[in-house]
Amino acid sequence: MWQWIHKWASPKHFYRVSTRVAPWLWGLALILLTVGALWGLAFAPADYQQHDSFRIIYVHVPSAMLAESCFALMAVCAVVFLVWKIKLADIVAKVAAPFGASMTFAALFSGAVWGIPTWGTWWVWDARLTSMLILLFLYFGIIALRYAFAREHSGGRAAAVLSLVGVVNLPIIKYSVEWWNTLHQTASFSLTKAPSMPESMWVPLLLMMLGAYALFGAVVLSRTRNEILRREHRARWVRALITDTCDKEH
Amino acid sequence: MAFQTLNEFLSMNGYGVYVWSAWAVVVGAWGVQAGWVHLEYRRVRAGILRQIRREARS
Amino acid sequence: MNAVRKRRLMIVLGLVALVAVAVTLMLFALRQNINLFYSPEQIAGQEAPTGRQIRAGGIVEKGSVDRNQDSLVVTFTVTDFKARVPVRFDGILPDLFREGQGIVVIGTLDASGTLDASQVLAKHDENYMPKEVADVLDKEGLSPEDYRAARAEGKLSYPEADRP
Repeated sequence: MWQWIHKWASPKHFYRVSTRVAPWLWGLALILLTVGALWGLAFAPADYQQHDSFRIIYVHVPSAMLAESCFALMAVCAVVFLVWKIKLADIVAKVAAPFGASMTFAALFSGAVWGIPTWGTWWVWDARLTSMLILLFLYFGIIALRYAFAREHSGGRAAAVLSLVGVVNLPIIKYSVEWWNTLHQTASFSLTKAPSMPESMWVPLLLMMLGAYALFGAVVLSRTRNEILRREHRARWVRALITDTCDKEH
Repeated sequence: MAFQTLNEFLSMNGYGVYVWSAWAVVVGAWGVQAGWVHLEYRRVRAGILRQIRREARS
Repeated sequence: MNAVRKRRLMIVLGLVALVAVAVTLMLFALRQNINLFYSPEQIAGQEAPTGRQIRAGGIVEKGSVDRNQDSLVVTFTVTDFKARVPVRFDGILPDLFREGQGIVVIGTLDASGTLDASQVLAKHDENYMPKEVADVLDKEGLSPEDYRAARAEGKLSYPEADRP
């Protein structure tokens, strides 16, 4: 068991295996997102109350889910890095942070734009919107903290501690709409109950969500590979690999 | 198909500004993240190649 | 797991637990301020201040909307099915405003208990439905709310109209 984990945590092994996985993830993301986008924009029926502004759901929900999932991933990596000192976990946490921050911004922006025609306002200080804004600031803090240290290792540890502190915000975001009175509605989609919309509306949403997760996987995996090359640039296998790509070009 | 004409699709029956701006920002964010990966790879690779050449010279 | 790692894991988990407890206590202390609005029941129970701007949320009572013929002034009642608050509003209502719709009203309570609104926001629920389905239901004399209630009890599936 421990041997297996250490083999996986070795950058060289991870790099070799991910070479085969990455293209599939990129392809899957492209197909799912293209089909989901066309379906959601042009073929899904409009809502009887919100009409075509309902179509914002197809980008709002996936980006909000990624914003939270990305933070959860960073928290898991933080525990692994702090307790077992596995460097790969620090690399994954590092490359995931900008992706999560951009998804949080995308969720806030698409929600604000959606709020104008449906609620009559683009922003209210309700628990869901405020906790999501706090998530964005947490991401900024984690990214900034990493670069505030001269030594890469210290920066990684500080960022890991902040992501563990920030992880309490995740259940607050999720349950804010149930614990308090908010303008934001409760979840339309959950693992435990039937979706609150017919098939013709939720199938494209599911495709967009799966596509977004595939893209998340592809970006984090590929950037982890880049970061491995950068950190291991002195290793013989990295040198051999890079010279190899150079030879192929000429 | 939920729309009869291209114009109707683009205007989203009056909600075009909202729908298209929200989609543009989210899809744009995905695009930027995906593009960044490839730029970063090129930069890292170029850096390592530079170092290999420098070490070969000295 | 060796002793060093075990100790580090305990420290990490302890940190998370400590922060969680601190945040929980803070949220518990601030619970009334975090709520975006007062419910009609709270207003009837005099929990909301008068003469100061507050937010009230609830459902627009069916048959209560009264539009003034000559101006934009509209009066209606907001209810949570336990208590009712009369609202007076002079302005443009959001697209989603109608009887039976959840809303949030920003305004001040006057001495007579009427909420003088400066802004009305529509609160949407998590349910969506294609227009065709809503039309089919309408023909059968059902509202989407009745329909959802029946569906929640497992009695109905969506009508054929929604199949693409």
